[in-house]
Amino acid sequence: MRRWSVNQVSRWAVSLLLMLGGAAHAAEQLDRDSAQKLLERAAAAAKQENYAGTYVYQYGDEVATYRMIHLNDGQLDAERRESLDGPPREYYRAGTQVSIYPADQTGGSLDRRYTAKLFPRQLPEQPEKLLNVYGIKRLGHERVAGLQSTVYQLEPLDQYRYPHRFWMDDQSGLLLKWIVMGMRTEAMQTFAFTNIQQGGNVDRRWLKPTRTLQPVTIDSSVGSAKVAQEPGWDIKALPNGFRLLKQTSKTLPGKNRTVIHHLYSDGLTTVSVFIEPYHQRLPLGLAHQGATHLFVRQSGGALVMALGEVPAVTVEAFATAYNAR
Amino acid sequence: MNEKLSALLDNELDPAEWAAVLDAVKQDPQLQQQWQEWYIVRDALSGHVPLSGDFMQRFSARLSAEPVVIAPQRLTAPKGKRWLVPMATAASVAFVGLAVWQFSFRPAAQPLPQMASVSVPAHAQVNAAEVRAYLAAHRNGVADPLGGDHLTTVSFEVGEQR
Repeated sequence: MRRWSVNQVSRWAVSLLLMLGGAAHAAEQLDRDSAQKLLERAAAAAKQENYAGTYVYQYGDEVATYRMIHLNDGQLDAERRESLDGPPREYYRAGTQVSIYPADQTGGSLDRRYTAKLFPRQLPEQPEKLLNVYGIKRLGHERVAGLQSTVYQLEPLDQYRYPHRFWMDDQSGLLLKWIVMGMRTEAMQTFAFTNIQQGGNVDRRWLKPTRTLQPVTIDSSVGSAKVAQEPGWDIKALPNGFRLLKQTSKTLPGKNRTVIHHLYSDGLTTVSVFIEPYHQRLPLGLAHQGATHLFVRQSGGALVMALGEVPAVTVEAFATAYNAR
Repeated sequence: MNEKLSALLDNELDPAEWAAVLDAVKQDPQLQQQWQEWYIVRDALSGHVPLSGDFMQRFSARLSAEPVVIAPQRLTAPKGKRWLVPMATAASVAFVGLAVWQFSFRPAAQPLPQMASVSVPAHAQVNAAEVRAYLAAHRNGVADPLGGDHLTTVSFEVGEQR
């Protein structure tokens, strides 16, 4: 990956802050009905439209660029992505089958639920539950990747999650830009198209992979219960809106012990809870990296860790909700 | 062996022992990882930019010129001895690359009495691999599968974000 100099990053950060500040006035709250229609439109556009373009992904102070194409002819829903800086990487999805280059050395698998959830397609197709915990404000209009777009913000209705800001193409409804913000409404993660072609302008030949791709195992094991149930554990009420996606028990890479993993999502952001026999390789307490928080505590003879791109109160609430009987 | 590796890193190991330690590193993937992590941590602590792919390549080239690890005239790596290169490649394509995790914790709760004798240091440095596995499990498929490198320079800090 290309590493930007401190100077470039800070210049970029300053302009981003100015932009965030500039877009923040004249906010207009959407009623729930309009909010739902808006999210449905964005999700449908990402799934049904044909589009191809280049987007930038920023995480912390790292920036990387990708090229992507998405085609949906009604029969096949397919996409291809390729990294443009650093080591070449490719991702190809046809329906639910995913292949990547280079082959995954770790033998890992991708979660079925997320293989079709990459930018600009991260919104759930049924956004009702999302709107129990987020409201939407319209912030204004802005040009992104040469297109007129409207800026919206998903505002958390409680203290357990961060705001997300997104830019929607006025014509197609496609998401052109998405920012996950942190505690200080700084950009924690940004996805942004720098150029995009849509509809008939998309060159279909670009869907063809250029390298020898390896199929990836798609993990379609689904958490059986809506509420996590773990023998020997009392799980108290969790922060509102988070639902159990997945409940697994596995040996993490490089570990020789079994770790129970509960994955929760509110539709936009995820929190993981890990349970394992107590050990002292992880100090107890709270830590953060940017806006990603981590909380470790001991319960009985076990270690409980909650981890997620959420505020401190959320990981603490998750970790303390788990109590050994 | 860990102590000797540490001594080597700190340039405190008797040169007579270098070859033996480096041979052991060659044989043992765990020692290789240990070496890398210490190197990253040391660099991070001295304010250098954490490990880059470029660094690994230079490091591999140097190590393949062992036993005279720091001899400039032997930096040209003989062919067939680039044993570290596959590892460097694997690291660069791993879903979660190399990471430095500098934790400083305020203890969240009093440890149980039987644990009290083992005090948690106020500024604890956690094994990078220890946290990486959890983060990888958490982000498995959640993040852009193309974007694993985005975790290369993460480091955790005390308390909550302010």
